Amino acid sequence: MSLTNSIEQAINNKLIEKHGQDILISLDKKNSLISLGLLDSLDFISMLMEIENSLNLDIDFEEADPVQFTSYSGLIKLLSESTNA
Amino acid sequence: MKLSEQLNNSIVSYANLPALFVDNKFITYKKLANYAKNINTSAISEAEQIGILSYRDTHYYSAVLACALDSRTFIPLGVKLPIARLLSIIEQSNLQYVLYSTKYLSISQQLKSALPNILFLCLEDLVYKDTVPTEQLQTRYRPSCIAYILFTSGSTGAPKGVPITQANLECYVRTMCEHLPLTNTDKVSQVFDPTFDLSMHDIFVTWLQGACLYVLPEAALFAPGKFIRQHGLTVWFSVPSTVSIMAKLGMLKSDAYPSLRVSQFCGEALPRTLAAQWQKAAPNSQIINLYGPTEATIACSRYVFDCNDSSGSNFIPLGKALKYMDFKIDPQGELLISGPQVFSGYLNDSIKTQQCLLTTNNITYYRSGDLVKCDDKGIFHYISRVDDQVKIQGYRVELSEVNTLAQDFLSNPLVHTIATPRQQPQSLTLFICNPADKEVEQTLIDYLKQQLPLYMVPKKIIWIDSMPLNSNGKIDKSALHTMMEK
Repeated sequence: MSLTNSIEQAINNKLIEKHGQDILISLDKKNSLISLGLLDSLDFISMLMEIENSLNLDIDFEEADPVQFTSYSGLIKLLSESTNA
Repeated sequence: MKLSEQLNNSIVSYANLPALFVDNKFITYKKLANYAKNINTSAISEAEQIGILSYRDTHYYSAVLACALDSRTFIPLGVKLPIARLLSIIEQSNLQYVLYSTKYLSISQQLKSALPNILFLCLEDLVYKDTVPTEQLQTRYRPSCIAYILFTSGSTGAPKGVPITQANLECYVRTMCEHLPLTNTDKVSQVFDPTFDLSMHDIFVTWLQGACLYVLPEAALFAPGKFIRQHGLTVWFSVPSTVSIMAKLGMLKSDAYPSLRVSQFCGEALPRTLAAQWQKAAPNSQIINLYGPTEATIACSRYVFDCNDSSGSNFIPLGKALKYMDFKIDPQGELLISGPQVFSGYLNDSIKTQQCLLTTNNITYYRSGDLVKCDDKGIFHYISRVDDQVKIQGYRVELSEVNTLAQDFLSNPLVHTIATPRQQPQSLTLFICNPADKEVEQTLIDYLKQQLPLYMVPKKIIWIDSMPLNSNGKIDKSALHTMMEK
């Protein structure tokens, strides 16, 4: 499984854990998962920590825009790009 | 000078300067005042109190300014609250009007169908009326008038209303404007939810001094580092939890926020290590810890952090009482607060009022419920609570409110809620003394989400065979924490 797929799988798992399998059917991937009310800040942080630990990543969010990286597609993009950098 | 007059002076003095930066737009004092005037000359002109169903947008701030200029009571109606809780708040407040932003039309329609006698008016229709701008606005002043009513967690399962008078609020902002002098070049953060009284500090302390309030977008509330740098904010105010998240995201690197000159924290205990990390990230900023219950109007003590002082506990002290306020410790160690910021009692609840207000020698004290100690320098330090109230992300939570609702729903098994982790609670865990049932668990969570704000809904439910009891026969909370930690 590619790194991007692993990241996607980890986010899917968190969303399914919170909201059930159906959440993925019509998921808005462009808007912030926090603004959409799907995850709160603690859920989001714990998901990030889980992804970082399980995939052995160390991401620097200092310059990242939370409006972007709290969205489904934005987070995958940031994590994938950070590991390629 | 009265709050409404002071606000009017700001509007005249700083007319063409920005009062607000929201949704990527600047709004001048003059424009905001015209929006407020439009609201005040609408159908609500005679209303004594209104509810505002909006969230940190231009309409919300216009409505708050309108109410403050006209000494009208406002009740922020949290757009993230469940309908059942909003209905309870509106009914308790005896509202005549609810002003809503179009974005929350669906919530307003649900409320309207349950409350046919209340008039619901669209804020956009009121705010953007075409009127001739005026420099001077009409203001009204009634010192005994309630400025706003906020609702906090109540132990019996319903939220309790805390009315704050014009006089309470005026005393607070007068003191804070002395402690936090701002200029019209200051850029002040606004991160708090309208239902949280710290948002009133942001609004009034900023506008009375001609500074600009920078409203952080929803997603940036979670990780505000980039926003602070991008806009060169000079004044920061948040709960310590926000800083804790920033630290986890690596957003507290040295000199990350050189523009900040003042950083204030309130709402929950500020760990010394976190304050030190913030100081490194914002080296030009003074760090101030504020403390105070909603009942004593926003905050009633302050402590200026000194990163060279590593003595004392792991948490920054509460500090000393603000000017005009007084602290006393009763024989049990509970902090008693007196002074003109102390409220007069809960909304429609004389029993709770009697329990929390104590009058001796003609001085009324508010029983804070906080056990404290005072050191030899007269600085107050927090020890613990006398009851089961906890803070989650700065919000007050009466654990018994969660217990009551869970118990009612489950037909009275033994339940108990704890906040974890013990030192700095982030979420709730509910223990239920019954055989595990995943289906019931899901329906219980769904029910609690319909009744409580999200921060009060337990993140974890643990089914146990028997509730651990201590030697006095009471629930052994420590044993429950130990179970969690395993």
